[in-house]
Amino acid sequence: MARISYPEAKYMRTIIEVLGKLIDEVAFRITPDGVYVKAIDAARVALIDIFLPPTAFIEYEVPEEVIAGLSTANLAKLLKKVKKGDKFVMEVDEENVKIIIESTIRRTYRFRNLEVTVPEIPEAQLEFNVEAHLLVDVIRHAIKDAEAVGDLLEIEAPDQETLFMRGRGASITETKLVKGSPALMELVVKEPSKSIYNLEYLKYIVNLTKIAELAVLRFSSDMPLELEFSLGEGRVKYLLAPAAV
Amino acid sequence: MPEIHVNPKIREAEGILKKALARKEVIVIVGSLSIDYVGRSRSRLTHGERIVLIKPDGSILVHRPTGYKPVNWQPDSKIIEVFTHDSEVLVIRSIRGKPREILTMYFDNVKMIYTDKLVDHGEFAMYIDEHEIRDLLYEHPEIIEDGLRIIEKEKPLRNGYIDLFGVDSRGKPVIIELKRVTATREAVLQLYNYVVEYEKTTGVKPRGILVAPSFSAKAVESLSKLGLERREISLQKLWREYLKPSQTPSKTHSLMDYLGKSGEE
Repeated sequence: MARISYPEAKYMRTIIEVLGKLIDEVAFRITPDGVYVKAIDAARVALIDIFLPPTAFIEYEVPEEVIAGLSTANLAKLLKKVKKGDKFVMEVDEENVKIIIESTIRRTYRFRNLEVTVPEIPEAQLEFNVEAHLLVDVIRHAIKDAEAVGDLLEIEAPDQETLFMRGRGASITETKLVKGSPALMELVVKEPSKSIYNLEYLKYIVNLTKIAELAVLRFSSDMPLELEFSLGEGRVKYLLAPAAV
Repeated sequence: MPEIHVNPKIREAEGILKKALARKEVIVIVGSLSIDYVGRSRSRLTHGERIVLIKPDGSILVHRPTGYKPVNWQPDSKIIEVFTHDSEVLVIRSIRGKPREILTMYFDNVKMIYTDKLVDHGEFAMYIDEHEIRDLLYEHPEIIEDGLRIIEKEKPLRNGYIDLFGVDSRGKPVIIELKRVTATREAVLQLYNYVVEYEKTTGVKPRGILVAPSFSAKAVESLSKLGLERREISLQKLWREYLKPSQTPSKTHSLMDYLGKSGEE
């Protein structure tokens, strides 16, 4: 049996909320090296890849690899009530998954360990021509602004200094970031690139901007977009296929 | 042919259901039953009188006498078994493959069974709400008039909000009021008040257009008397041509095009 305890249940709630937008059931692969979650939506447009190392947990007793298969809707329901500072504990054996939320009171939920079919996802070996290190707030605002005008977000890095995020629809909204500004800490452009992505799928990850501070954005012209959020020592990677326009 | 069996004995009910399941018919059972469910969670519903619907695709809905939501359901079934215990309890068990979910119904009394093959080729018409119509016309003003440019939606005036405000091909301001149901005289007066208020504020007389799927006789008469215009729209057509999900999917490539493999489960 494995027992892991995460110090901030609210973070777990945000992660589950994001996962719930893509998939109905999630498989947590809990190994002695850390917790891995990989999921792809049914349309195979967006891929989420989560890794939380043992050091991200306050308790980590995992003698051997176990899989915890859970319904994202059930998890989201029980995590709805968590408050700041609540602890998230998961005890997993082959049959059952016990979730304990510890705050002033201790709430225990027992679920059957579902046999979740994990789709075979090829390892992403993508070469990106642009890499930008950003404050997550910038991404959130660009997505929100773009939503006001349409359903597409265009990202362009025309040179080594500038990154544009444009909402495209009935009209255009533009966020311009200049390298070295507090919002855009780093920008590496191997080749000027421009690509467009569907906001419907980007909206899903807006919540991650609440629990991460920095993000790395990678893309190339007409290629997938990768957003990597750092969660302390862990990370969430989100890979999104470009929109067909 | 529809068959209705009133108060069948448990053994009879077993035979009727097996036959109907083999023929892939729609089945409606009214009776007293308890239910066990094992799957994503575990539940038990104790005895009570309920309505059970079994559809040819294996989906099952159990309704209590009140409420619109089923109390138990299966989106589909891999196997549906019917058997009896000591001729006293009729058991219907639905097993779902992925995820594995088992719904077992124990009837101690069956009041009625209805079985039939139902035919339904009807098209589901989705109706759109006023906000969707407004947003659609905002993006496609040509539906109202060629050359019309929409400048603002929900434009505030002192006496309310104009649904859409634009300029026609000759540069004249246009105030558009939308209704998703038959426009009445009240809608005409609302539009007229906006037109008057706009003219009072700016000194320019705008055109006023009432857009709706149909107009009452009094509305048509009032529009004409007040010098306002009307445009009839078909909600079904708008939905079919602009909003129908199959035609407006989020057009996005698949990641598999870039990751190289098919990624089949």
